[in-house]
Amino acid sequence: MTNFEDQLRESLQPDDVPPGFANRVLARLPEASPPQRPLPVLRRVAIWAAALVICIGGVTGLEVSKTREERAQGEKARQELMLALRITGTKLNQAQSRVRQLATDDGAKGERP
Amino acid sequence: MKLMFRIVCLLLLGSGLAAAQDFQWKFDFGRLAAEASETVDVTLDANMLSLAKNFLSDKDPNEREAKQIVSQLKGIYVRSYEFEKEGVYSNADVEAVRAQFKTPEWNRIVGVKSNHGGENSYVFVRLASGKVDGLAVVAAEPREFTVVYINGPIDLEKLTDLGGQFGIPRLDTQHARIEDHKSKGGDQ
Repeated sequence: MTNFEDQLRESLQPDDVPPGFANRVLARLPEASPPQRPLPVLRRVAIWAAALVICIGGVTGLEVSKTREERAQGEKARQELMLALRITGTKLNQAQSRVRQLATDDGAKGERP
Repeated sequence: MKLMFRIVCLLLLGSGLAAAQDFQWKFDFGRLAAEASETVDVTLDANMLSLAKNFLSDKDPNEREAKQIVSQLKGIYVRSYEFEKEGVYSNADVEAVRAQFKTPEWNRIVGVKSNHGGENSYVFVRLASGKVDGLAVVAAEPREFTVVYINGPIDLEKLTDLGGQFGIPRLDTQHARIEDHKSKGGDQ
């Protein structure tokens, strides 16, 4: 054994922990990491406001989409209605013309000697 | 008790289905549609008519009149086909379509039949309590075939007032009756 080895062994020897050391360490731990502060009121309001805006935006978007769809359906129905009336009118007109023509022809035949 | 409940359920279901059932053509227009160069297929039930009415403008005189005409209607159904050539449909097809309006509730007020391959026109009305409650038009031309059914009370006076706006004629019922008598012996 050399003198150097003795010195080394002696210096690496674990020291006895003084009594209450662990408790003191644990007691100081909370000071090392401070407690989380609650969110400021303004920030909470901002988060709720953002959530509300997103909800309202979503609902409004759905409503707008629905309204647009209804408008398109209504416009199509209006055009179909006008087309149907136009066709009906034309066909009634043609039938009426034929009736008048036949009545005129009959009248002309009746006047002949 | 269970049996009663089932019967009530069936009755409710039946009435619901009956209410949901709308007018249906008894003629299959599929072949005509397939051969037509132009097709008009308008099916407006009470709901769609109500929707359409909301979109009619009060500023446009035609639309204002249309709004009044359709105010009490329950449905408008139009099928119109134009063909590139003649002879796509037969007289049997015309008769099959007319058959739907040959029931006792319908009265033919106009029937014009051409023996020279021209236009055949038939106008039927359905009466309820002495008032017109339905109108049907069957117009068969060599290259065109049109059927119209309007369900609901129609004010013919208002239709007459529309003369010149939609091409709807001022209905001359006297002439119509003359023609009706003439054609009755022929084809109905």
